[in-house]
Amino acid sequence: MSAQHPPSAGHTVAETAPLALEVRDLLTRFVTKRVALTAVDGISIAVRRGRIMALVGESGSGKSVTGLSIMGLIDPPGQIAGGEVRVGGQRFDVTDDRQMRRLRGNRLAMIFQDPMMTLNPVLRISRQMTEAITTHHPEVTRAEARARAHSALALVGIPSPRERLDNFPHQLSGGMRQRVAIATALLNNPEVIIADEPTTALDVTIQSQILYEVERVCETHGTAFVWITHDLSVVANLAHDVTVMYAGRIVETGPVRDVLENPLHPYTRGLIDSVPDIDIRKGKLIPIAGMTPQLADLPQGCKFAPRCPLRVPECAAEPPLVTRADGRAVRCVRPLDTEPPR
Amino acid sequence: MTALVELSGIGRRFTRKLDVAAKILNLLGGSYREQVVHAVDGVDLSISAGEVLALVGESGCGKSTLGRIVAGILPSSSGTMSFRGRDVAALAGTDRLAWVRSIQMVFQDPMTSLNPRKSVFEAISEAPVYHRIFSRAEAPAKVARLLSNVGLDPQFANRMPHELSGGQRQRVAIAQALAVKPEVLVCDEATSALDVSIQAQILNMFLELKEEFGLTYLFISHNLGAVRHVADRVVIMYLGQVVEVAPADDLFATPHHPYTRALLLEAPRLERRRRFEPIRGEIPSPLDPPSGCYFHPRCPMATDRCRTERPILRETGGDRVAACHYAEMVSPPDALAPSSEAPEPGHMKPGRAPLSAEAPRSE
Amino acid sequence: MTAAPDITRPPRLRRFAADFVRSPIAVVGLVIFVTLCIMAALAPLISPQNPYDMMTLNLMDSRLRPGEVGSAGYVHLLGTDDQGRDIWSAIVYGLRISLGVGLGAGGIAAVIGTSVGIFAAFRGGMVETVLMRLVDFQLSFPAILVALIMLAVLGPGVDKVIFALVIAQWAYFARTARSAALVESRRDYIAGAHSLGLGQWRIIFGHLLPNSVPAVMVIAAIQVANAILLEATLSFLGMGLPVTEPSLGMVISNGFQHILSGRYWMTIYPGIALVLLVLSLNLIGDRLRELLDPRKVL
Repeated sequence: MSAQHPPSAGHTVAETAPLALEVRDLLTRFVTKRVALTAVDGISIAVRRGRIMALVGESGSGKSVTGLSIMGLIDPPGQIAGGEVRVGGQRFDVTDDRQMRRLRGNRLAMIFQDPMMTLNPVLRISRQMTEAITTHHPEVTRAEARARAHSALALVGIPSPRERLDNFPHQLSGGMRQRVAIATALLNNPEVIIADEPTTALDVTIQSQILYEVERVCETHGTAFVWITHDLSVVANLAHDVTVMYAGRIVETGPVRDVLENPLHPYTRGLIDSVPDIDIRKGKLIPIAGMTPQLADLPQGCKFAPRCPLRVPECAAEPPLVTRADGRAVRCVRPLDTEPPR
Repeated sequence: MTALVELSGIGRRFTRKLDVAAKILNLLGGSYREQVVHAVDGVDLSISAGEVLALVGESGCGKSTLGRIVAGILPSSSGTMSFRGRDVAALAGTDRLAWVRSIQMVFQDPMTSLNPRKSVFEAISEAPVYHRIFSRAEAPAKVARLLSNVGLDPQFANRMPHELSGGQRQRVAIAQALAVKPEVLVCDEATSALDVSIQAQILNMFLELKEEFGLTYLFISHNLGAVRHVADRVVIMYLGQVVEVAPADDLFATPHHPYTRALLLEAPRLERRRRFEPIRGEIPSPLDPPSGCYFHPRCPMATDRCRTERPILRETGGDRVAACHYAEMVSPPDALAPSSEAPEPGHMKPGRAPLSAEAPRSE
Repeated sequence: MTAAPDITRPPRLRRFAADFVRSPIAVVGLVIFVTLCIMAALAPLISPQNPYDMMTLNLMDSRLRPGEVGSAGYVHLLGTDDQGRDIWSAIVYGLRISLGVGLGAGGIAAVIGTSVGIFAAFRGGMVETVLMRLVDFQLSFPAILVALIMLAVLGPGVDKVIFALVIAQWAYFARTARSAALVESRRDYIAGAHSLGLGQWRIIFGHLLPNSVPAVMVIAAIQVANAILLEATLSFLGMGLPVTEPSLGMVISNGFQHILSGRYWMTIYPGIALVLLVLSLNLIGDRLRELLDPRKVL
């Protein structure tokens, strides 16, 4: 039934647009005297221009560390132990701080759950935004930078942007601050924006305003987004593609409608079933048994097997992520659309 | 059903008093005023025995403050609250203690709701031993029983809070509340900080405990999905005031307040992609609420009347009340969705059978 | 039914100790402090004479240089003072008094100050305002001034010095304990304890106090060091302890008049002992603050 789903505007973006971001075999480890753990274990994602890729997972899935690793923002004891990142086809060394500094805020930008991560509380909005431009483009005049800041604020739906420019961050509401953070990220027209749970702390009505603006920006500017979230219903409303992470690994990836309507991995299915539905009268939810595993103490074989209701003996060996003919990929010995052997 | 808890005209003000400097400046012609926030503003509400009453609203609407007033943690600054027909302000001694114990609270953040220096055993057994609900000698067996009630292995009694995951802490917090044999549980965003898969476990557990212990719930949440899942009746609050109360099914099908309708419309859903412009504007500051109806600056239906005349909560038929001049004209949330996006029958949620608990047989 | 859970103490303390020793400088501080404490405790055993037993003093031995052999036949490692008193023995006995006064005053001030602070935080309202204004008032005077005034009124004596130091220091504890308790009392588990119907003393002693103690411990180390310094200053000024109970401060003061005549040992060695004592406490305090800082991500 999903096949008849009418194509909506968000899906009209050419599926053949050039790749904005490509990450291959990213490996991030945290090593201290007490523990050594792999937070991101061989993640590969690719996002085309003007598309939104959602990175979904629960706590400890490694989704946030993946975002920070792509930005080259991993501090010791963490280290990026392998992998490669390409922005607009050009390869970058995520461990080279000087190279990444030129990239960050310019061709690659990030927004966080707490907008105050990027906003300086003692500087006016205008100062912060113009500096974000002139740091990377010293040839731009202040007046020009201010004009660009103004239009960026207007772009994300901030009413009376001229006054807002002269405000300090604390004079704005949480939703407005997040819009300013998004506008700041947009200033240098980056190819990719990595968004780490940017609407999680916001109220529903404010969240939907921001999702609406982000979708427009994505369509009009061709910006690619990696949208990190735990909220599947946000994914359903915003993303074009989705990658589901569990215990530092990708368990499933594919177009958002396909994944949500016909999940291939039992974990994806479990997540979907766990979301209480607004439109259906109450009844028992179908939760996933057990708890999210500790990265320092992962089970052997398939990491989801101990919680999986469909576990079979073959799960004792960890299956590889298999890409299928339809472009979807799944890490499971028996994906949900395979017929059980008779 | 009889009313277990009855609130009438409950209000809670928070005042930021002037400091000495401001007072002196005022004498010299300054114009500093005390800032008063009506976090909860004249709420009438009754909670019936055995029901799950959900309290829904966005940040700053006063739902948490109201929850704390009901749980007896925060005094109200106006109005009266009665428990089993007796005004709680007049209760003293053991009667007062009985009331306090009868209403327990489960908090949002499982990281701060347990004393970090007490083991699970100490946390659960402290209050009931203090109140002589059971003796110190009986405590180990009782604690083990309570732990299994909330789905934890009795071995957890030895753990310290920092050794537990968020979901486990929340279960311990619930066991701690159950230990004093409450009648009402006030759950303040009790599942919001948890992972989705854990949230579903805890929501199911709330429903099971309700049957097992005959509990009544005041379920405070901003998550409409969770509310739909557990609630019998729903109260919608906006800026400290109740704007609508209705049985859950009726409210979700036909909201009588434009704000309720907006909430239903804006809540992202798994099944469909929204393609229309969201409701405009920010939640106003409770320090300086708008004139007339508090919702009018954001309301698509607002008229001049709404800008000047504050609507009162009035009956709108079928056990329902709403505070809107035009309650009868509020359209159901589906009506505004573009036709291309209107859910076809059967499209709502792919009708899948639940995952079978048994693994398929493999030869 | 399962067996009674066996309540084991968590390995918190062990982990804390393990964290503590990861800073070498703090370990040095701890070693110095413990050594000084042992020296003070074993004073009669490790010193050749009781420097304040007039019978053992011999004026013939006065002003001996370090290393010289006195009339009693043993080496005066650090020399003697103008009354023939062995400096090493004076230091060891002086340490005893200084440590005793410092720990005593710091301890009593900690108990009083913490109680006041936590009570103020718990009760709030008028009680809190009055108590905290009192604290502010007290803190606006330098501690040395408060102690001097107290001693001028009370006269000399170990108990009076301790009393004066407690008066000078309790306010620091009260302020720290109050802010720690305020942070804790806003946490949900305190609201939960109220909701469970626990009595106020149970909440204060069972919940608020144990969780506020770490913050108090940090300043306790520093305040004990301050008490020792304060006492030494008072003794140096001749306002503190009676001559019969000479602390390090008085030993330094006695030797001080000779420093210009080249007999440095009478004042430098006790001075070094005092510096080591105060320094070691400060090192320990700094490490405690690092480990117990609420902003530290564990």
